[in-house]
Amino acid sequence: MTGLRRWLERERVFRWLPFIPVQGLFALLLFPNFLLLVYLSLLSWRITRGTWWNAAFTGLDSFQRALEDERFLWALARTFGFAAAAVPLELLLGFGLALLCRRHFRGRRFYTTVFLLPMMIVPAVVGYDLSMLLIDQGPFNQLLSLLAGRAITVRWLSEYTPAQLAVIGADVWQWTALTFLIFTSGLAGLPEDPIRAARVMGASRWQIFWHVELPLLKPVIAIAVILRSMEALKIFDYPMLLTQAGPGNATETVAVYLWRVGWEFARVSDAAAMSLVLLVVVAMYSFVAIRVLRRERRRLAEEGVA
Amino acid sequence: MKRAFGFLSIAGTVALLVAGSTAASAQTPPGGTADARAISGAKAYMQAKGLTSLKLNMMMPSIFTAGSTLEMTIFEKETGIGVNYFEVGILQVQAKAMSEAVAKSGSFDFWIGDPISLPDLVEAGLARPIDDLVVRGKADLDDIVPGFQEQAQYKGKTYGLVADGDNFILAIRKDLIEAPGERQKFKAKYGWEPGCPDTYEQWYQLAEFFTRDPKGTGVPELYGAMGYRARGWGWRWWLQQFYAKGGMPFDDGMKPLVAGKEGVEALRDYIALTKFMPKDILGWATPQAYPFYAGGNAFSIMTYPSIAIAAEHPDRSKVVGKNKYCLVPGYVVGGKLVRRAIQGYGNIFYVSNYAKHPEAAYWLSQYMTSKEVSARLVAGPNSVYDPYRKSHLTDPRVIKARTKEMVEIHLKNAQVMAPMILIQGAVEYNDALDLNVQEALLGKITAEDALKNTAAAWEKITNQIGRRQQIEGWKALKAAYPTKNVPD
Amino acid sequence: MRRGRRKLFPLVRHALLLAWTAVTLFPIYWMVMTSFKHAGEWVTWPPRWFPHEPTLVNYVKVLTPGTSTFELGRQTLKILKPIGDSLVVSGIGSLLAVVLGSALAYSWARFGTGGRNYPYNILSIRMVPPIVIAVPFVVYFVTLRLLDTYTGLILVYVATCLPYVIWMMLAFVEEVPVELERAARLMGVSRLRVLRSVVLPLTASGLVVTFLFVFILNWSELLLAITLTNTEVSTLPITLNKFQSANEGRDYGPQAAIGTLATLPVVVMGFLIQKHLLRGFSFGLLRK
Repeated sequence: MTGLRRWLERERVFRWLPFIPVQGLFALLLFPNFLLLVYLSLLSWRITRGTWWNAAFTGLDSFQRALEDERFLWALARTFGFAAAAVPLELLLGFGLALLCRRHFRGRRFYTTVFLLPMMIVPAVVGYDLSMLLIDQGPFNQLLSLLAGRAITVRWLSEYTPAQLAVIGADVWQWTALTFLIFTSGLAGLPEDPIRAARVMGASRWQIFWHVELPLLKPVIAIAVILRSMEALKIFDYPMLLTQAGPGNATETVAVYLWRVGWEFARVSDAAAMSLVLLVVVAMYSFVAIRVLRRERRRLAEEGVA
Repeated sequence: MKRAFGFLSIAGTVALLVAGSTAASAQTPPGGTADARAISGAKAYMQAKGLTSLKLNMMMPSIFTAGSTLEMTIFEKETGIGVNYFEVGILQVQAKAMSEAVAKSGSFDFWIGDPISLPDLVEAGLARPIDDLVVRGKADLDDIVPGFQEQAQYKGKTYGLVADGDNFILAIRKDLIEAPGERQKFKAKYGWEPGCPDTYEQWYQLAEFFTRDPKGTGVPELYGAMGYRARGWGWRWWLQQFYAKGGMPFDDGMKPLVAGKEGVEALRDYIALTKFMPKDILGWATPQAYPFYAGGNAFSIMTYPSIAIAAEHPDRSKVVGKNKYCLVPGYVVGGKLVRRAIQGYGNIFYVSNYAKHPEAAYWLSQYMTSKEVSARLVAGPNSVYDPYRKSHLTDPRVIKARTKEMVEIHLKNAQVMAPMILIQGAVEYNDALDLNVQEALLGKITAEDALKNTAAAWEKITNQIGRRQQIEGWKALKAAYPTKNVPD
Repeated sequence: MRRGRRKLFPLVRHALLLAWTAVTLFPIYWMVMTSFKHAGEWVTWPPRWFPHEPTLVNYVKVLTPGTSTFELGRQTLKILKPIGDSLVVSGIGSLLAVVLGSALAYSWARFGTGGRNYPYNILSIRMVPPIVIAVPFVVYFVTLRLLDTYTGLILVYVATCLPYVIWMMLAFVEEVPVELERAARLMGVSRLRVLRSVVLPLTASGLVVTFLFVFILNWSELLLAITLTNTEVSTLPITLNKFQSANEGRDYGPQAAIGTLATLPVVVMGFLIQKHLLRGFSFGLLRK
């Protein structure tokens, strides 16, 4: 027992101990998977054609097919479009709400409790719930009619643009909660000295916000952008549950399309190639995003020292 | 080397012994009917394996469970073989089955699926040929109306037992036609006695006439027509109209023929009719459509025959006894009326190649699809199984649940029944079609473009799978198309 | 002028916050209300904002195994097993992820284990869309005999959650004053003791927050779960998906009951630790 303790006490053991299982998990679980993905993409295997370990190499054929597949490219573009529409909205709403809830006032606790609710709901439930609200003669149209003062009968789930709006709306509704949470945490954690200093120097509220607080918050904003955009690129549940990725292919995201190509059309190699294309696109995006994040964090560390 | 040889010889002996024992049990189990044979076969299987109870794993679309489990419980009481089923969405059967074809895990012994996925699942190695068991169990296939059991066959082998006759039927509201004055008004306007439409033009006229929006709100009190237009479903309704136009999806060299005149006209009619349907129809399938029709909200519906169960249900339906069941309408082609009813789903019991107990799974399938039990299933209050046997025509239970008229008309429709596109890659062919049909319906592209896109997508699929192979599959499928223009 | 503005601001603030409150609560309200409605009230025009005769029948239905509930009488809802499975898989998965991830975060913060860029590399793992790995995962899991097992799904969830855990815990670990640890070490206290009596108490709320957050992620995960399970394991989102996917049944009442039941445990947990939640999401990205 003491032997074990002493062993653990060594720095080398102590520091590497958590590292090994984590790296082991990645190495054993994700890395072979990735290799398999690359291998599969170099074949022209479909589930209906023998076994994958017997399939012949066909080089980059699957990649060529992937890049010539308009439906895939559209799905990719559409997914980025959804993310580009949903994420800024989430950030703006989350930031605005966090600002409004910044200082203590009566009712703050109530509001924050409510605002956090959506992210605790299973997206599948959100999808289902919205499908109930958004029916032709459902309560959502009823509310809209009340607000507009005339009958509104938008077919939210069976027309092109409305269905896309529904998917974006679902994402915004659910994940504004997270951006709100991140920004509330960020605002609560702002250091007080620089703000106080600025105030002493006679800066107005607006100036303080613009020149002091916002720069301080930049890294937090960066992580919010990164976390939300990488999740938004994975949208799968809402279209599946709301519209079966329809009408037409209005809400067919890349995740849904890959699901179909791989499992319904049995074209595994093509799905693998498309996955890799997707991975490259996402990697380019995340490379930039992570660079920004790293720069911000390093600057923070340097300032902290100084 | 020597050791390996010794091992081989032992293996050989074991194999011989096993073969001997199966040969001994490979006699037809006793019993006068297919269900009795299934039960005694299952009992013999349990005895041979030394089991007293057994739970088979089964994959089933969630919409089918309540209609099926009752009979399964009876089978379990008789034989000790029960079912532990897991449900999937009806459009996800293919995906889950494909993943099992890759996994080969034996996580389910058998499943209920549609004929569309069969070619792919055979090629993927998941579906197990059951000819040996069909012969042994003497399944009563001869009673089945021609055209149904063929859907469970592929490349000359039988892969499943058909449990469901899903060729479409048209239901209309006769009480509305008989309402005072309507008949005369209709005749004055359109020049024919309202009733079952013979052509799609006539159905359109009926739909137009009976769409009732007295307040002019755009939300009618009564919708003239219903059919499925949802993603994953709508293409079947177009295909049926296309067939009635005399259209065929491919020529003998697998060149797509959908983009021709027949296709475009059929698609235009398909789109035109949609304006008499409820607004949300683009998101609806059976679970939404049946209650809507049974609630008395629509004049007519073209759908699966189990609509009769919903429409004639004593508690749930507001239109009991008010429905008239019609032969599917058609088109006049070359001076002759051509009616076509598509076999638009059709439950089939399939056995998995990786099943732990394929034989037990087969016995249960034979039990469920036998003359007697299938009649009970077809007549059940929660049924999604539709009549597909000659004996269903006269079975009092079936007639009571569905009306005699309906069963007769349904089996007449079966005479002009055309299959969906059942060749390898069927799901992908159909999805491409479905997508484009719906885009045209939404007004995103023209009917011509939709079908041209479809043809282009189909060419791609054919080339990728291998044209020669597809030509063979198509040739085999062509034999399943009806030769009669109208039922006798 | 200024005074008027000052008076006006709280009003405007309440108006805006109430507006978003309405947006947030409306779908939840509708779901909860529908779960107490009889079939006849699910879809009506005008829609009913209150059940006229509140009923528990939907809950009874979904909690009684093997009952047929669908209006057409076609579906049976089996809800208890998925709830149990979800609890097991997300619970154990999140716990493991938090234990491993926070230990790693500590190790990185204190010793720089793994190199300067380690957290960023980890974050890129989370960026891989799950659909990308779903297909090879099946092939791979079959060979490992992990398909359709609790272990398999738990491992996957641990791996996919670790990036979040590490990033969140980094912030909390960095808030622990190093001097305190150093002082303790100088007094001859063992590393484990330092962890237990200095670091753990100071990061406890962070651990809870992190656990809750990854628990929510795992509790909701659909795509990987549906790919990697068949008969043996069935989580809640899978169940929800198969009863609610776009053109399956619209069995509103019982489905709303399931939705409410699926939401309740997480909301209760979230409510209990709300105070910590509101401070726990700055990811160590603020100047001290």
